[in-house]
Amino acid sequence: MDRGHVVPPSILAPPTATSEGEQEMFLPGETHRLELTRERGIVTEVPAGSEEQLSAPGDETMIINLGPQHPSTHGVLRLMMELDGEEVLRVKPVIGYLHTGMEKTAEDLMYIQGSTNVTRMDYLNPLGNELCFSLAVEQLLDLEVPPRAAAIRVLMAELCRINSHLIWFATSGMDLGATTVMIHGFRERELILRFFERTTGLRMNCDYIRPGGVAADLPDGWADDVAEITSVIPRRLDESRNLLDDNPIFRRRTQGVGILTREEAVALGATGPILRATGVAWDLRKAFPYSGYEQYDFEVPTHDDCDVWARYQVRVAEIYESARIVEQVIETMPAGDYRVQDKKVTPPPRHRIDTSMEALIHHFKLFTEGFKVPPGETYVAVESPKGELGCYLVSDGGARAYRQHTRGPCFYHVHAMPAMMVGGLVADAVLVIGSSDPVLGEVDR
Amino acid sequence: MTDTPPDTPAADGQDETPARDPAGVGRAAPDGPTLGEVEGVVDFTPEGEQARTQPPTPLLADVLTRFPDTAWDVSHGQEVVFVPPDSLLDVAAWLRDEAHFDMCVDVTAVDYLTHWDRAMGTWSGERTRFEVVVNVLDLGGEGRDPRRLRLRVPIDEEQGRCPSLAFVWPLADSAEREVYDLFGIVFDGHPDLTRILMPDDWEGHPLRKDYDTGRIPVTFVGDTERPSRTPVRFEPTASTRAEGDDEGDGTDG
Repeated sequence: MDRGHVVPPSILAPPTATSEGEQEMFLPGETHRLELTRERGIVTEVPAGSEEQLSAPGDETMIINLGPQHPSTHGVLRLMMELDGEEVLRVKPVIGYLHTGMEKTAEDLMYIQGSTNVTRMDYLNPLGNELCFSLAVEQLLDLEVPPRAAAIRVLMAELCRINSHLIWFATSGMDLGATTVMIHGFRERELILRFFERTTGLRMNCDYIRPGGVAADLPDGWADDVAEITSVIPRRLDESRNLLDDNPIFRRRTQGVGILTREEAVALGATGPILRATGVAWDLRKAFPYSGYEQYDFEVPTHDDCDVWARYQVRVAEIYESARIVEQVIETMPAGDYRVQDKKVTPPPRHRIDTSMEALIHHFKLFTEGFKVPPGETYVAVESPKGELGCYLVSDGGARAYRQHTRGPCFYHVHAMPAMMVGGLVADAVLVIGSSDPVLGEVDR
Repeated sequence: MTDTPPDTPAADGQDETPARDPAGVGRAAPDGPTLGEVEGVVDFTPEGEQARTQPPTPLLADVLTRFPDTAWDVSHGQEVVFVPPDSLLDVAAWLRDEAHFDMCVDVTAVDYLTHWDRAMGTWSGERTRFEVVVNVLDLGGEGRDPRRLRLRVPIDEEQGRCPSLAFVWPLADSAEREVYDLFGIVFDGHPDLTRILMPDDWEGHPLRKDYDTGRIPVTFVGDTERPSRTPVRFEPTASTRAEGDDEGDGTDG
C-alpha cells in the first residue's frame, strides 16, 4: 500500500521492517472520516464546509516520523505527521514501544508485591503510583491507615510532584536549547532523590508506600533534610525562572503555541496541569480529598491562556505549592504507627522474628501467600503530577489482584497531542510534547 | 433493622445516603458496608428486599427510571450502573448532555472467565464473561459537587461486541483501541479499531484470562526470516512452510 512517502518506495526498506502496519497514519483518502478529524485535531465538531478539504489527498505534503528514537520525544513516543512544508497538517501518535504488559503481570503478583510493579509505570512519580495502588487495595480491605502513615504518604507524594515537575522543567528547557535550566533542574532533583534514597533505600522505583501504610518509618533527622529541600528548591527555582520568564525568545516560542481549549481538554480527558492551564481549577486533592489532603492549605494554580506558556506557569506554580504542603507536613507530622496494626496485612517487626516462632511463621506466610482481599471492585484516583492517575482494581477474594488497570494521564495526553499540534510548526510540536509531559512508561505500561 | 416501621421500607436506603460517600475517593464511610455485609448475611425480609432494590442515591434513581433495563450497585461508596450494550449509547448521551458528565476518564474491561459469581448489584440479566468498564466524571461547578459514576457493560463472549463511545466522548477513541487490543472486544462504530500497544501481527489478546503468558516467545515485526524467532506453536504459515522445505524430513510438504 502506498503510504504517501515522497521517497520512491523502491529505496525504502521492506514495508514490514519498521512498519506498524494498520496502526500507522495513512493518506487522507484512505482514512476514516472521524479518524481524519481526530488526526487534524478537531475534537468537538467538524466545521461546516471542511468535508472536502478533510479528504483531499495531499500532493505537496509528506508524512514523516518524529521518533520513536528522537531526543525530543521524552522516551519512545512516535508521532507520524503529515507536513506541508513546516506546517503540521495531521498528527497520529503511534505508541506501544515500551509495552511490557504490566497489567498482566499485576494479575500474577500478590497485593503485597503490587507496589513493586506499579511504581515502574510513571517512573518520575513512583510514590504516586504506589499511593494510588495502595489506596485502592485499602479500600477493598476497608482499611484506614494511621495518621502518621497518611502524612508520610502526603510528604512523599508531594516531593515526587516536585521531582517530576523539575524533570519536566529541565527537559522542556532542553527542548528549547536552554541547557542551563536542564542542568539546574537535574541538580535540584538530586536533593529529593538523595532524601528518597535515605528513606526508602532507592532513588527511583522506591516500593515504599504499600497497602497498610509505608514500608519503614522516616529516618532520624528527616525533618532537617526536608526543610533543606523546601528552602533550597524554591530559592533556586527563582533563579532558574529568571532565565526563562522574561526571556523574549522563550516567551515568543511558547505564547500562543499548542492551544488546547477547555472544551477540547475535557473531551479528550486531559487532566492535571493541562486542564488547569485552560482556567479550570480542577485538582483531585481538592475535589475528592484522599490521604488527609484536606488538612493542608494550598492553592490550585490556574492560567487562562491554554497554551504552552500557560502550562509552564501552572507547573512552576505547583512546585511552590507542593513545597508549601511539605512544610506543613513537617510541622504537623503526627506521632504513632507508620503502618496499620492489622496482623492480616502488616508483617511483624523485624526484631520479633529473631525471638518469636509465631512471628517468623506469620512473616513467612504473609510473604509467601500474601493476604486475601474481599471480593469487589473499586476505582481510586489520585492527582499525579501529570493528572488523574486512576487504579481500577478487581478482587475475586484471593491474594492476587484479579484485574488491576491503571488509568494513566499520559496515555490520554499523548492522544490529545494532535489537537495541540495541528496548524503549528514542527518546531512547536516539540514544545507541545514537552508541555504535555509524557512518561512513556505510563503510556504503554 | 427490627425496629424499622414496616410501613416505611424505603427509609433504610434513604437514610444511608448521606453516610455513603459518592465521591468515592475518600476513606470508606464509617457506616458503609462492612465486611459481614459484603460477604454474607443478606436480609431477605420484604423490607430488606426493597431497601436492596431501591437505588440509594438520586443519580442512580434517575438513571434507573429513565433506563429501566439498567441495574445499580454501590461498591465501596462508589455509584455503579450496569448497562446492557444495546442501551449504552443512549445512557452515555444522556449522561453527557443532561447529567453534566462532561468527561469520560477511562474505558477498560475485565475478563471474568474464572470469577462468574461476582457481585453484580441488582443486575438480573445474563452473566457474561466480559465487562467493559467506563468511568465518567462530572467536574462540578455552578453549584454542583463533583461526582463520579461507573458504567459496567456486560459483554457476551460469543458476540464480543460493544457500541463505541468515541462519538460521545472523544477520549474513548484511544481507550477502546486499548481494550480491543488487549481483550479482543470489538467496538461497533469505532473509526480506527486497530491494535495500539501490541504489534499488528500479534496473535491473541493478552489480558484475556485464557491467554497463556509465556506460550508465545517475543517476536518482532519483520523478523520472520530468522528461524530462531519463529513461534514455537507450529502452524503452517508461509514462512514456516519455507523452512520446512529446508529441513525436509517428516513433513508432507
